[in-house]
Amino acid sequence: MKKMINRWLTMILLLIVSGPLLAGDMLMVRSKLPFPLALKAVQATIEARGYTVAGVENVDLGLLRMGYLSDSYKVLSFGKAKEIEALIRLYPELAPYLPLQILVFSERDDTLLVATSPAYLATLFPHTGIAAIFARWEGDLQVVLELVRDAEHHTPVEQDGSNY
Amino acid sequence: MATYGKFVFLSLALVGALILSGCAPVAVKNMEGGEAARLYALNCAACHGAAGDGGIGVPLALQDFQSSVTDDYLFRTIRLGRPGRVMPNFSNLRDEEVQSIVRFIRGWAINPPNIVDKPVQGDPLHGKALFGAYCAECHGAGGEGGAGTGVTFSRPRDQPIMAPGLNNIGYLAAASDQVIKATLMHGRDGTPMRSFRRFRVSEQDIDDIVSYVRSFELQAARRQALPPRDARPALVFQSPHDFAKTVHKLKQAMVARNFLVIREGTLESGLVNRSRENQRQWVIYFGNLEFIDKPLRTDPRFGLFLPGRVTVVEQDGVVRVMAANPLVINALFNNDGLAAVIEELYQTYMNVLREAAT
Ligand code: HEC
Ligand code: HEC
Repeated sequence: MKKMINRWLTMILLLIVSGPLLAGDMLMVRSKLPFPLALKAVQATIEARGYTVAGVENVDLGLLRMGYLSDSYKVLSFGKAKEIEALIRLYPELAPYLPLQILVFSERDDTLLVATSPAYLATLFPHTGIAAIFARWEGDLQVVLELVRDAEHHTPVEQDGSNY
Repeated sequence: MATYGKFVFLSLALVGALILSGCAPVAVKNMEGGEAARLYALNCAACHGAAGDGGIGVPLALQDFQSSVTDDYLFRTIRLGRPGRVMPNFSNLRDEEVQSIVRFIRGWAINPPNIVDKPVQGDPLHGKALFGAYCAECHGAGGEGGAGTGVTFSRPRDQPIMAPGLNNIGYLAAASDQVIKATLMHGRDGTPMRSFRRFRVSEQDIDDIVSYVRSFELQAARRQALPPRDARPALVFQSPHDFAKTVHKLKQAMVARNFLVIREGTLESGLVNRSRENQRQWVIYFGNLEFIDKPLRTDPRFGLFLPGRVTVVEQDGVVRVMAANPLVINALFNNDGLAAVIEELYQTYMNVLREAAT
């Protein structure tokens, strides 16, 4: 428990959780967390909501390998295996859009998080049966993005008590 | 130690929030200033930066910007957005909300603007010649704007800040003649946009350019977004081959087009135990440097759909190959700069899928 708290201590401090995100087809937030912490925070928040992080695509390393210098740029994919399996069984043409994804990239000292709105994706398909599940994904994804947006980075207090 | 306690409390609050966050989040709506800041953080900061210093969007805190635009210009820009130029329209916000965002942005101004709106009289033909000589290199011959988005995306690019589209229906509807004129007179110190007064030109020359920029309205009104010619969310082909041969043919089709197979695996990879993965749902990622780099330069958000991805699914003895339809994804970005990339990606998918399924 102490170890876990310490991890949060050095990493994140929740300020406020405020209203809905930018309404639109693209969900976007800017986080003050530096890239590595933002990436960890996204992973932790997704998992805390019961999703599995399937993998992190290192687009930046891919570019690097091809001889191109790039900044931090990763795509994280996630989902709940049972839901995805059931959906593809009924509607195979959903497969190209699954699992869900969040793009995480650095912009100077900040980190930007971008995702396609699942609620918007649902409107692209004629199947009314998928609306409820995509709406729930939308809600969860919004909460994840808002938490990371509102998280603040703090240096460990143990070394420097003078800040407070 | 009290500090430690505070942190423990806040950390627990975070963990708690993570667990409980199914409930409605607590909104902070105490004072007008706080509300305005919240609206800005929610709707604008992702692109324009928390302090208005720019990002995917152009900087809003610049003093030359502040002194060249009216509140009305800001209000209309937020309402109308810039169709095809990334900046969304915020038709979802109430008038009071837009007004409070305008006041929030104005908080960055040291001096209020001094702009008296009256039409500018100029000669658009002479303005056109001047525009070609002085403006086209950055804003494009027809005022279509520079390629890319906003400010530095920490990768190499031609201009530190993208030149906005001037032939844009959203810009023209927001900017009065005097706002355009003020922009030319002041320039925007700290950006590539410099004051036009440093050239040996008369005020009449400036008025002529303003009239020319105004004349873009005629073309802008005629430009209309068409629905995609192929509006299926997924491009799907049924394969006559068995699963393994279909996967093999897909990879052949990719390599034949000079693409690298970057990664492949089951769709469930990482989601379930390796032994339980459905081997009949296969995902192949492919691309090459140019294929990935070009879209990212134009719009960093496009990385959500890169590298290329093709999915093979076998169900009830039917093998299908499929990909997300780029023509449909396009609508997410409000970025005309992606048109060529989108078209190329669509053709690539169609060709690769078709080849594997014949
Ligand atoms: C060296 C490149 C460059 C040249 C040359 C240039 N501009 Fe700009 N212009 C820019 C950039 C970059 C911006 C965005 C500045 C900012 O973010 O505030 C801009 C902004 C503007 C704006 C404001 C647009 C908006 O959306 O608010 C107008 C109007 C404009 N320029 C007109 C002109 C005209 C007319 C000329 C020729 C007389 C010209 N510019 C020459 C780069 C240039
Ligand atoms: C998805 C990214 C994005 C979001 C979100 C966004 N903007 Fe923009 N904004 C842009 C881009 C990009 C431009 C430049 C458009 C161009 O090149 O023509 C711009 C242009 C502007 C301009 C004109 C700047 C100038 O130089 O005249 C204003 C004002 C503005 N945005 C305000 C806002 C406000 C206020 C919000 C929130 C309510 C907002 N924007 C949200 C991307 C964004």
